[in-house]
Amino acid sequence: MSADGGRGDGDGPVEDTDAGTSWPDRLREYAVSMAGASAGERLFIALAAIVLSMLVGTVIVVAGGLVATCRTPVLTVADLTLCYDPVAVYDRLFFGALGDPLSEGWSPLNAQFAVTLRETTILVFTGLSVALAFRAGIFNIGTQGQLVVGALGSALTVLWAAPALSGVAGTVVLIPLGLLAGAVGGGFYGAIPGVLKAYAEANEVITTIMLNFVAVLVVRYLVSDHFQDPGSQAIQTASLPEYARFPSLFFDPRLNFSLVALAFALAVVGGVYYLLSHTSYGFDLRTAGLQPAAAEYGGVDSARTVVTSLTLSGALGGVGGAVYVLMVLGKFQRGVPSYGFDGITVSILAGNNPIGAVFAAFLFGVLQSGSSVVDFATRPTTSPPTAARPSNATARAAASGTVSAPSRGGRWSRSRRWRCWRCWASLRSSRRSRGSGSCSASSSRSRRSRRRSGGRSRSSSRQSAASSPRSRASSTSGSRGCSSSRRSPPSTAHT
Amino acid sequence: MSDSTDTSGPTTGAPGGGGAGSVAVHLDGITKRFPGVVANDDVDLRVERGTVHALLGENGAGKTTLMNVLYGLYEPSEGRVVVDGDPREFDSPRDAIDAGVGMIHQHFMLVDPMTVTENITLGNEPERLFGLAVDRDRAREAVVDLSERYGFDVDPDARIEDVGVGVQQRVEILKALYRGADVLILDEPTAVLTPQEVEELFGVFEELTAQGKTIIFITHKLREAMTAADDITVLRGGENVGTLDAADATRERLAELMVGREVLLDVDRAAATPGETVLDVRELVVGDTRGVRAVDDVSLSVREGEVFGIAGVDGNGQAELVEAVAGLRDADAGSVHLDGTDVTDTSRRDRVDAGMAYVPEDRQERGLVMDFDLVSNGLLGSQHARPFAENGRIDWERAREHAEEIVAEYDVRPADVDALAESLSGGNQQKFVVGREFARDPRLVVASHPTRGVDVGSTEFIHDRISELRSDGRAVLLVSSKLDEVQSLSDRLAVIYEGSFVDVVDPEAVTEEQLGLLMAGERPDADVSVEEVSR
Amino acid sequence: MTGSLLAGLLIGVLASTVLAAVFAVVCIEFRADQIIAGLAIWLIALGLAPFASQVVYGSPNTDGVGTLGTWTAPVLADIPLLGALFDAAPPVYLMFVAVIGGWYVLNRTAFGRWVRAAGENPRALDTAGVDVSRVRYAAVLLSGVLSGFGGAALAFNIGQFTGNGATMVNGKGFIAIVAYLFGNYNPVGALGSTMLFASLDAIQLRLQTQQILGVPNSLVQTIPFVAVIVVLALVGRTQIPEAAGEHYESGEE
Repeated sequence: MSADGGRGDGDGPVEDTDAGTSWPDRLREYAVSMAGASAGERLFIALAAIVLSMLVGTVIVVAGGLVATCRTPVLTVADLTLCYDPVAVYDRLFFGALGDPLSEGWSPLNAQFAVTLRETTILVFTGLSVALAFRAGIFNIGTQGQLVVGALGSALTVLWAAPALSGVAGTVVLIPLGLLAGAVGGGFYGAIPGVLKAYAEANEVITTIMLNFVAVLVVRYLVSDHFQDPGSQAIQTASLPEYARFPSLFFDPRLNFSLVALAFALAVVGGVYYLLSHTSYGFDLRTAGLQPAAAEYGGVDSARTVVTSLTLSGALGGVGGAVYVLMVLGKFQRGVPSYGFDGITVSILAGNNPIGAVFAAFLFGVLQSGSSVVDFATRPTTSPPTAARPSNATARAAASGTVSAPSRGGRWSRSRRWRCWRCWASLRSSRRSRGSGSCSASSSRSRRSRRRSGGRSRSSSRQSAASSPRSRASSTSGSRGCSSSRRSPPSTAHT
Repeated sequence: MSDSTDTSGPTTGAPGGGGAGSVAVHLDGITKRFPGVVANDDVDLRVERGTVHALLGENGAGKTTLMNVLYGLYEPSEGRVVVDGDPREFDSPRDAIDAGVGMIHQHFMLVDPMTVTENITLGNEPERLFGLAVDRDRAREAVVDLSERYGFDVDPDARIEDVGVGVQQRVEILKALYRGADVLILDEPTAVLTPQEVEELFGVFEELTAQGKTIIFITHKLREAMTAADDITVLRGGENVGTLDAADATRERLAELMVGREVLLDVDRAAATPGETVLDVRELVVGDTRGVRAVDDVSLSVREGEVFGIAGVDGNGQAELVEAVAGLRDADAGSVHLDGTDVTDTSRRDRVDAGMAYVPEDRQERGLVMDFDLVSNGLLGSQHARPFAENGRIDWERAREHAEEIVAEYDVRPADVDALAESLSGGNQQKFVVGREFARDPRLVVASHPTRGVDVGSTEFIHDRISELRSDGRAVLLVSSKLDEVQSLSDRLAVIYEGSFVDVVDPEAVTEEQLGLLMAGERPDADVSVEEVSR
Repeated sequence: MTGSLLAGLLIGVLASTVLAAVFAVVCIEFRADQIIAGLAIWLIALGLAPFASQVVYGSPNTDGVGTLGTWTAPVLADIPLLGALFDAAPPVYLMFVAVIGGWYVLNRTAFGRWVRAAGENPRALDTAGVDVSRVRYAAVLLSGVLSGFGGAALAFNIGQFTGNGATMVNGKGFIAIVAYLFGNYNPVGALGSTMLFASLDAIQLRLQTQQILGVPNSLVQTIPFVAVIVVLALVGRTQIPEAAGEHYESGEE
């Protein structure tokens, strides 16, 4: 390039910016300058995006509230009735998720806060998984599948090893073993798209998404045909023994949250941060992610980096799955919630920074946990859908967001809702039975939905084929309104 | 699109009257300032209708900037553009095209999978069925007519990706003619052409001017300007230092105008004291991205305390040869030995560890990670090696010191190691890359166009450093398209043409003319070779 | 009934075009990463559609809306083998129109050439005096229109929108990306490759209902997904448009 002006050489003078640029141009310049922003600016962008998406959420809640019909609207203007109260939604979403910190007698050990932290813990792993791959320039949309494989691997390994051990020794051996199995399973499942990308140039976005579907189906086959818990209707493995589960310090063991797991998650965050910032491998990985040609020049083996980073990313997702099994469920069960997809939004919100992922994961933990509180607490006759999950907020993508699956309970009668609440309360008292038991309200609804789907078995069998990406919808439906158990077992209606 | 009358096809003839002898283009006192730089300083240029006008100058003389002003890409800070006697203000190339000015860029603006006709008519397609379809017959006819009128041998139905560079260039010219261009600007049109294609291009020039078209072409090659042009304007440092009738011009006169001093700067330095062979390349064959032999059976060796230069027209296999030596491209056959060890199949990293420094041709793609600061960039290539890393852990303190040393020693500005690479000017980026590579304590330095796009002061500085490496007893493989650079720095100079060495000569004994012939693939009458080239 | 189905079709197309417009603005105007923006749009739609259904119908699945049935072309339907093509639901005919129309627009109109040029070498298009952004906007919006037709056809085929799990769409958009790649970036080729994937899907359904070979259903259902991966691994190196996925800023020189 011998261009005299030398634009391509970068020493070239830059054309003075025109004073009279139109507003889209200026807006774009602004957006472009933001893309190269510093850490502080990124934080600002992230916060602005959250606020913006809350506004969008409000619009959706209001719009939904205007469309829906209900007996006791929160607001009536002329003929327009607003069924959902956006203020109440956000109040419940945030304060509810923390267990109402402003009310008297609040304790950080409250049940709803435990749910929030439980979600946070797993989202930290999936967020890290996505972030690590992102930093290597790879879009790992397959964290969900890797998490599912890791979860099953962890459950099966622990079930296999558990009989040989017991007591504290069992915990000390089985938990690390379970985590390792999760990492190996997820890592293996992440290595597949890695190899395909490195050696066959298959685009990882598509292969990982396809592998998500495959994971759900293969895992369902494995569990139902080989590892099925004979005592259960649901597709699930036998339960792990109590000593093979994360010990819950301070928190009520029935809340399925363990501070040990959270501490482990934070340690992994530190590890990933160290790996990226202070090791030669991390340098290779970041260089490959930013500028592959320069990485090659700097002696980075790009194929190897692709495979190893996707393997590591998968392993992190797999560990997330292991924690889900060892802390939350105590077994493997079909219908794993979409932690992996939320990991994408967590990672993007965090700017793919491992430390930032902790905060982003907490935000999403609050949103997940809060959305179940919202269902419950705002009650004109219909409960407002929890549409207002601000998420996926990148500066560049301005406002974007997933909308969590809406409550099915919109048209439940008050009494059914109450039955469900009672049922949940009773189940809480007996943690072991939670998995196999089900609330009458929800099971009756399940029967109804089974009837509904009876006439179109073809489509229903196909939907259920891949419940992973939106498994929240199905797994939630069974338990909507029973606050702690968004992740509770899906009813058999969908199988 | 803005010019709806043009959609019907080519406009013909010279608008605005005035036969041969009238002024087609008059650049009147053009000054173009960029922040911190004056690219053009009060340049006057008159180009007569129906002539070929060469714009001659060294890299950075302001030739392309001036032509971008004429083509509406830049607005002049001062002065005016007069086309066909009318002062014009071009806001965009579209305005220039409407005024009959067309430009053929160095990098062709063609859509590879489309046909010649589709490319020529792109954006101005003749339509039928009220715009519902392209009138392909009319489009093809227009292209056939045009190429017949100017004696172009172009298949209208060939795909661009299937035709050679010379044909692609003609398609570009046809594209401009189709849009009604009367004045054609060509930016370094010969840079990518073989000598035969250059001949053909000059034939095209004659045909075009015979039919009243006006041609301005940018070049830094004396011989081309003298062969093809009617008038030659020499630019130096953004100023017009003289317009000559090509018939009166001599090479010496032009060279002096271009450089502004006596030509051929002699670097005063000690005779070479070559030692052991460091780099030994044997019968190397390298395919390019399409699998064509880009390097065809090249052998060379570089010894301690020696600079081995490679000269040639860009695109004759230099890039592939260098990348194969550096470990960024696989060799199809032959071998590369470093200090007697066969490294042909070893990784890039192994070669860096074995003491190979490499200043790449493209610093922004390869040499630097633009989003990294200088501390990280100083580490690039050494991220696994002591003293910067041990047991896989990076010592950032050490890396920072290292970057600070490079910045201080090579006068990189701003002297801030926390600055991102992309925030530096091209010259400073290059100084940093050179500094980092030379600081490796290398056995072999491979330098590819080390002073491209670098200001004069930095160029001299880098040249001094290369000489220092030589006297330190290191081996240097230098590739450059700047003849004076390779000639003054090298101890032995190979000339590459179509992937093979034509000859290896003594740079002090060879004349520029002889080099020019060699670069065109021909052997001069006088034997200037210092060693046999295995062919 | 038919009138409301037509209205539904149009609203469906409109909705998907609006999402495409959001994508276009974010990517073209604000130069967001196209993959991230695409994922965001995917996730939004994945949540928004069941949500809307929830608001209106109280369930992620809508009430039944009826199907379009089949239109049988007399005489043509009696042709052996090919006859099946003329005894099909209206969206099938629409699909043929779209394939032929797509091919025609891309290959025979000026706009189609601009679209191809915008993907291969936007600068060439720009210097030829065509506004690259406008061409890209138009292309993305048209893509939204077409996928809207696809979605509507899906809903009318089953007679309902089902928003459970992966929703009734179940990753078809991603299969489409691979199908187009496999079809060598050509509407007719894409028809061939989508038929390949569709027949795999049909085989998969048939195997499920009939329990042939005794392969468990879950594994049978993986066939289309695995096929996508295999195809991608085999044709991963196919040439994609030079500038696909890249931003273009005009006037930088």
